[in-house]
Amino acid sequence: MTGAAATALLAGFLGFALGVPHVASAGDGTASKEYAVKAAFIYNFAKFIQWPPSRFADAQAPIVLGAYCPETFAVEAGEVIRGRTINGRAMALQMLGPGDDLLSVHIAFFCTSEEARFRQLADSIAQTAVLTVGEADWFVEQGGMITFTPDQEQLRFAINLDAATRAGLKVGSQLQKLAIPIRRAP
Amino acid sequence: MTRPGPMQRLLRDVPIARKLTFIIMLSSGLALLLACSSLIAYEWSTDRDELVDDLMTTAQMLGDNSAAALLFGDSASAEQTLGTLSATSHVIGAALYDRSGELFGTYYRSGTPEGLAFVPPRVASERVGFVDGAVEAFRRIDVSGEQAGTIYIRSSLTELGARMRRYVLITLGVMLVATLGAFVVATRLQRVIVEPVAHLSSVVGLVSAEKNYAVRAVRTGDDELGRLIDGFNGMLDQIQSRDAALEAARGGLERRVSERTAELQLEVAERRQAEAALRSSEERFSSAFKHASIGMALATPEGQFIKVNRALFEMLGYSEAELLERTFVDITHAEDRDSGQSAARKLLAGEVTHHQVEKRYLHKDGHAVWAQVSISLVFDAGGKPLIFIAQILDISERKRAEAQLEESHRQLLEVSRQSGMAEVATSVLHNVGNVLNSVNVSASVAVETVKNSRAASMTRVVDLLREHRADLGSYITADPKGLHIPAVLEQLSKDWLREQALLGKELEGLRANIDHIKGIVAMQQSYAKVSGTSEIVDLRELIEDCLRMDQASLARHNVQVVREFAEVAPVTVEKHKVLQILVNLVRNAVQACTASGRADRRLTLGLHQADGRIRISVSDNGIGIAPENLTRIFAHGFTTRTDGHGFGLHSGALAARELGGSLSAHSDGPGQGATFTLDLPAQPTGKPS
Repeated sequence: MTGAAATALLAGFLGFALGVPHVASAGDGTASKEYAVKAAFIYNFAKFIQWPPSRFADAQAPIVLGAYCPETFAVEAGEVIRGRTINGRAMALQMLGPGDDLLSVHIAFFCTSEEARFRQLADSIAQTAVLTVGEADWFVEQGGMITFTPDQEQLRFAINLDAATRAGLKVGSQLQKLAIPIRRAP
Repeated sequence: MTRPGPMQRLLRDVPIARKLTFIIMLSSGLALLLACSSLIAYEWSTDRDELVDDLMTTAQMLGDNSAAALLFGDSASAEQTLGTLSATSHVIGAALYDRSGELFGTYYRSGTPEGLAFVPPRVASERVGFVDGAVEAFRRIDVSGEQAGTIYIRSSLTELGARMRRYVLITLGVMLVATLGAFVVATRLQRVIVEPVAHLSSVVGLVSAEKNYAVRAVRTGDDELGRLIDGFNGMLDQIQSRDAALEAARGGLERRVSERTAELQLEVAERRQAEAALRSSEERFSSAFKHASIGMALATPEGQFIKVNRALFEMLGYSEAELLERTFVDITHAEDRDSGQSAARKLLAGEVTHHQVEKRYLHKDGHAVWAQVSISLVFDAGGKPLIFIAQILDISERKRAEAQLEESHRQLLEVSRQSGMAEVATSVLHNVGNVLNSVNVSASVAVETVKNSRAASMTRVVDLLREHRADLGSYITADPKGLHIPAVLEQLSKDWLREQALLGKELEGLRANIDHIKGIVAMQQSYAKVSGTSEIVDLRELIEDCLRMDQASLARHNVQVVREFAEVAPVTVEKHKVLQILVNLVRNAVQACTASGRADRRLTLGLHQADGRIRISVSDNGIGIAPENLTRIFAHGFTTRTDGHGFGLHSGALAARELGGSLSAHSDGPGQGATFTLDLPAQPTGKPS
């Protein structure tokens, strides 16, 4: 079974469970379902991640999700986060492009098409408390913190705990427990 | 004493020793039972609460641990977490539900029938409770302020039941041991009470069986039983001493009984004497009542006769029995009933104690009997009216005498009224007498004139002429004597003419005076004729008539008459009575003026009308009336004149009253003159006479 197929299958299940509308967007239906599931995961990650207080202006300041992704993700993520809060904070979506600053975001998601940007930025944000999420297997191996990994029929994820700890983020044990072990580079 | 309950009835005939044991056992058993039961109940409720708390804590912990698995759809991880429940033996099963309520993972205890039968229920809101011999809880799972899902846990109560059974068994064992201990203690301690009671009981038996009051019970302590034994011994002491006293008293008692009997006989004799005295007193009273010359009666407060005496029923013409059937009201004259009843009410109300009145009773044959009645009311000791006592004196004779007196008085008044009429007659005669004087004078003048007539001279002239019949011519012309004859004849004719005129005048006066007398008589007759009937009268004319009657007297005494008459309409009145009064008043006025001796004697007659009354006043300026006499002058028989009979003003006043008016007098005092005013009603004249 291919990763895309597994993702689609999972999306059918999770879309209902998480309240994500799994109505396919016009055009590329498979891609938009996959983005919806991933946006829901990213939203749930935020519940178990603790940023340093200095990253927020105040207790109501939103958690900013910055994404180097196609417009389809923006549509699905917008649906997921609309009207919801995490411990009183809303989540704001910010689509990023070349030259944008990552210092104002709390989560940075690099879609497969934009992963090259991570390589450019990795060193500059290594010391900044930004949760970096990617889609490729190598993402965690090369300094990213969380990456999606299809496992059998489920969408799963791996965590680079060292990278997160270095950046000043605390990852909840519940999340750690669900993560699959990192395959270290040989 | 309160009624014995079922327990008391049950124990009533059981020996005291057993009663005591039973009571002690029952009390201590009840106390133990209560204590153990409450302990078990407390344990039961605490264990249940603990179980619930435990269940909630477990649910909370499992929820937290499976939250992430729920969020990321990791059901394997979730079931692994639920699997940790296998360490908790009383959990039968558990279930996880996602945010939308779909079942996400389950757990059941394998190896037990309950666990194998476990089926997850449909999701529900948060609650905890006991259902079907188990306890179950639903609990929300929240992450970061958002619901991630719901957890359900079901726990068995088997363990709780087993623990309770152990508790009950332990309690029963403790109760058994405690009851046995209590029984032993009670059996030993009851002797303290039972033995003295048994001793007392045996002594009582001895006393009642042998009537031996010399035995005594032995006292064992100072508690209630000790005091009871003391009391019992004391009673025995008293009985012994009373026996002795009784024996001693028996002798004295017989003596005292005989003494008392003698005293009583004496008292009875005295009482008989008193009764005899009372009887004779009553007889005397009864006899006095019966034979009293005055009528006497006793009656109930309602007026019913109880007792009447002979004088009374003979006075009223009844028999005694007939009168006793009647009441005061029955025999009272109809006109006196109201006053009689009001007097009785006053007596009954206690306003008066005694009532005396003159009233009329009805004789059996219907005529009235005048009586003087004296009634009093006797009250009993409680203040309730008891009896009326009436004394009734027949005063019919006195009443008859009074009536006769009244009649003679009335006759006297009639006489005086007639005497008033006599004054009118006197006045008429007086006037007639005066006119007759004039008649007499006229007649005398005529007689004298005729007597002194010159008829004799004429005879002499005629004789001379007869002597000189032959030479009559020469005699008359030549003879010296004959020459005088024509002169004499001329003189004689002149005298005759003069006498003729004088006689004619006197005779004319005579005729006028006779007419006057006729008028006076006719007038008097007219008043006499209309006596007693009313007619329409012009009062001015009436006053003038009165003055005319007294004219001669007024003229003789030189009294000036002043008239002050207002316009007064004719009135209907008894003419002769008014005239009688006025004639009297004018007569009095003239006399008052004459008596004063003054020269300017004046009589003023007034006639006025005001407020429907007519006032005729007769005023003089004569001697006046002393103030003390102003009222007395109207009294019967009073007069200030030596020759007066005193009926004038009295009868005048009576006549005025009969006319519906009044006669009053006013004077400023002696020498100040007097005014008499006759006041009459001005009745309408519409009624034809």
